[in-house]
Amino acid sequence: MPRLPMKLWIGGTIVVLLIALAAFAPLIAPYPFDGMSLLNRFKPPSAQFWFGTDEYGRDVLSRTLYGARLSLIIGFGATLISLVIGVPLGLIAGFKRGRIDEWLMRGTDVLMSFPPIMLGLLVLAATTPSLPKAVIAVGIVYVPVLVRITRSVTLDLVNEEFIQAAHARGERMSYILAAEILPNAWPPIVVEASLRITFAILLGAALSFVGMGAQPPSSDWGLMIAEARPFIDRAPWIALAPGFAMCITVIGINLLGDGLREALDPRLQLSRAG
Amino acid sequence: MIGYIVQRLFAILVILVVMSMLIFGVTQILPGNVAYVIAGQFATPDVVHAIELKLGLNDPIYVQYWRWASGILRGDLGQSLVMERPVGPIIADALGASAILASCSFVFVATIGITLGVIAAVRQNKAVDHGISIFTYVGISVPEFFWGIVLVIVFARYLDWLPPGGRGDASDSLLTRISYLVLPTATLTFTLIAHVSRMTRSSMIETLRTQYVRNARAKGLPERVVIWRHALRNALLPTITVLAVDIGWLIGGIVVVETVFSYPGLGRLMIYALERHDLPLIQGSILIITAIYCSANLLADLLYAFVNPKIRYGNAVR
Repeated sequence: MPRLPMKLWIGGTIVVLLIALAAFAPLIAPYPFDGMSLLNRFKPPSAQFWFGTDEYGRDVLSRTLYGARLSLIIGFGATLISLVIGVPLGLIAGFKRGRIDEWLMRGTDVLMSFPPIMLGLLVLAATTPSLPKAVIAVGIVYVPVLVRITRSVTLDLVNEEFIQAAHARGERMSYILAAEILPNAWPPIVVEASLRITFAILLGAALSFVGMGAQPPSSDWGLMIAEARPFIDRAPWIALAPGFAMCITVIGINLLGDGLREALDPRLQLSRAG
Repeated sequence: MIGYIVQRLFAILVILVVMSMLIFGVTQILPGNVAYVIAGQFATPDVVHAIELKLGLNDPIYVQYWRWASGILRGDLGQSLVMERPVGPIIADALGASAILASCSFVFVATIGITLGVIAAVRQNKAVDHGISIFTYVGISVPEFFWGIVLVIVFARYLDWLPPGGRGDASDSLLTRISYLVLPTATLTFTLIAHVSRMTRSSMIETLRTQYVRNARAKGLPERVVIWRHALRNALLPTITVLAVDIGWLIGGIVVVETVFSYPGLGRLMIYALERHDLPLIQGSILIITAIYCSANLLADLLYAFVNPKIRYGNAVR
């Protein structure tokens, strides 16, 4: 049993801490995230306000803590959406082949011909922006990738003997897909999904940053940075706190993902080239 | 090869048509009737109705789509509602600005990324390698808008070396105009460099182990020539694909970076149009950006097929 990679430990610790901070934000945060105080506008970091205050006198630390919730919701929520839509479509495409496969693949071709942020903006353009819609938009952006991955795994599996046996027993397609193929198709899908989480967090933040995601007074990190922009000469801390928080989050999840892959995939350990 | 090119061109054409339908369809459900946007909030229903009639907004959607699409084929993207100018020239100006920023960034991503990758491969598992890997890891983990703001705080506000944003005027000296490009280019380069350098590193490491590299060394060639001439040339193949993927990232990043630096490019234009519900401008800018993205991908695929004859259309499951 090889010892667990260092990356896994560091990443795991960061992610667990983050989830704890996000979950207990109401208990930890010294102030409400939207509590304004006109007497305390633009206060630099101090003992009273660790990360300072913003233009409305809101505590930046509290806002950043609550923002962790939104960031994790975007990351995991959007990934979940793309899994829920993408995996069944990929399974069906790989299993049925033929015309339905052709149509689904051409559909993903079209969707993948959009730059990711453009597809997100296009989805959001159709409605008034809000955080839940941003989560859905980001989720949709990554559906085609998951369809393709799932399809190619399924293609490899359909010719296996145990699937043919299930055919011979006269099992229904839904049973074969859910009970025979899916459990064996999981590993590459999970690896891909773990990659998508940080992409989703960054894309969601970018959408909020350009004003197409979370709306004020939400403490989404992307939105916080956008709102802090006009004041960066006199109050840089308003932008720096959520920015660093986002770096730590993304690095943590990436390390965890990399570590998991190294731990699960023995081939990677032999040729530790990339 | 020619058959492959024709096939790919045809596929792109079909994709563009479907895409234009998608863009048109989605923008049709945008909140805020176009007629209201033009007439202003105090317009009487009569005025709104008159505008609707004039623009044909009550026609069936396929008639409207055909009017829009056939206009594009004639080079007419319609009239911007907010700026009250034809969309085509507005986009052309913005496109020029974006192209400068994108090509500068791309050149830096490619050259610095490949160089870092080669150095990391040659010094595999040494301190330099770890340093480069941490540097690129941080770059990829941070959203470009945050880097942009950090750079503005440090180099524009604190050190006052470079302008915080904008593009400069035609009357400015060349040096001044270049100075406007430094921070946005640096931001884009830093966020994109990781892919290229990592890919170069791993394919270089593989190549350095091959027989012909050993041969080249045994011939007594200087290490510099072995690495940069013999090994790198063969290690670049996967890097080309990554560079192509990076074009997509670049286009995405440019939207955000232009917003951060108030750089008057296509990305900022699109956000501006979205904020103001300027329908023709939204449709035009999204269509142009996606068309460029598609052509970049096509170019990369062709380049890849050209360098590596093993790759041909149809047998690769992507």
